[in-house]
Amino acid sequence: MIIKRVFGILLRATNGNYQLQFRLRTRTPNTRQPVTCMTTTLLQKLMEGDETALEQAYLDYRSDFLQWASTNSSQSTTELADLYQDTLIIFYQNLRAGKILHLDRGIAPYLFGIGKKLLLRRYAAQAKRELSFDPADEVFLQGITLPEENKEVDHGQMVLRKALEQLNETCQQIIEWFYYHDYSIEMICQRLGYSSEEVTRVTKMRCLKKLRELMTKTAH
Amino acid sequence: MELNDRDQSLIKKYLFSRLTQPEETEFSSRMVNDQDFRTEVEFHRDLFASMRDREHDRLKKKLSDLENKHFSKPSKPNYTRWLLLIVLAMLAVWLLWRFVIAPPTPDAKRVFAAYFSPFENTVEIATRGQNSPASSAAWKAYDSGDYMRAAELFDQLPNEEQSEATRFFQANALLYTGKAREALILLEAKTSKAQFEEQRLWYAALAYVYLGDDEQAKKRLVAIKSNPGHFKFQEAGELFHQLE
Repeated sequence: MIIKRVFGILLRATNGNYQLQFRLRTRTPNTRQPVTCMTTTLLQKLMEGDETALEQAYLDYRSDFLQWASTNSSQSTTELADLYQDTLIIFYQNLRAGKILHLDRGIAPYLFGIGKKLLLRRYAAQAKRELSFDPADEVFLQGITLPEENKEVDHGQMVLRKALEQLNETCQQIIEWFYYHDYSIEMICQRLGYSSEEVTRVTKMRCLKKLRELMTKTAH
Repeated sequence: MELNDRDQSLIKKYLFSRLTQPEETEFSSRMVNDQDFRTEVEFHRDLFASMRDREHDRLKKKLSDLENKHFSKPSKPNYTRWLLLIVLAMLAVWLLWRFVIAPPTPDAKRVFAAYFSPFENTVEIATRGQNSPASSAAWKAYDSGDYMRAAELFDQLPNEEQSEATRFFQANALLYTGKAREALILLEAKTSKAQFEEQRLWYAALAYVYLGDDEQAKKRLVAIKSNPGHFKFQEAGELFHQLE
């Protein structure tokens, strides 16, 4: 992968009365160890589903995120940490789903963009300042899926979830890999150490069939 | 409905936003015209959403644990709980002492019973006719063996009617009814007169035997043993050896 430069960017939230500037880690040529490499490596690991990298990202960006969030809201550290966790998870899930399009920007802009959306959604009434989005900043957030806040789970989904919990661990894993992480049959075959892709395909079909049976049973 | 590979691929592309333009057109058309296909899409959409929510919950717990591990403030020690534990421990020790260690053991009571008998009343006989009705009633109760009543009546005597004798016999009555501690207060009170001094020493020793305090009992028995003329010289020797 071609290593690209990460430029310092300014994240501005303005209402005409103030400017909040956040400067990302920047790289100057031939000085210290390029931050870009670390960010790229971290991104790569996150895309591959490395949850240790997720924990690392959590620790790396926590301080800056909380500082920004506390400047713009009156929530407690606990609430803001909760917001940060949701923000990072949403970024991670969208990254793995291929919806993060401007990887050259690094992680921070996405965290702050997603964080701002969640902050507005949850705590707009208690915001210290009126937060608004610069349309230019929002471009890179297009396509990112944010879960609905406090969404009620309908009966069908409830039945599906209960049925999923009743599947054996292997079936749960296969279904998650194939239908959620979009692994190919070949990849699943390799991970599980099956003898052939056909065996994997048949196992997947049986798991799905079992899931449907459990759903029918649970529904009644 | 069992999906064929093509439909499976189409639905997955839809979920992962990878449909090409022609595929999008086909997908939209089938969603409108093909009920079975639409059902399968909804099933896969729900499956995808459930998987995402499960993953979210799992990761949320992981990050929350990380937050608590690295950033939560240590909770202040719960002094109230410790204080309560100390108080309960002290109470337990006191109860242990009061009801287990201090109280007379069955053996102590047996030994006491073997050596104790209320001192015979010779006082009232000598002073009969000179006593007040209250005093006479107390003596009468003592002589009739109603030691509990006697102890009460002796205690109720006015100060001017109380004497070393009334206090000594009151202590006897108290010892008889098992109130050894109260009896000791009377037996070991400092007096200016030497009346009943020998007897008080003996009954004090017995009171300590009753209470299980062998050390204090032996001290008094040693004092009696050093006086061969003591009216309980022999019994004191026997009791001393028994306590050892």
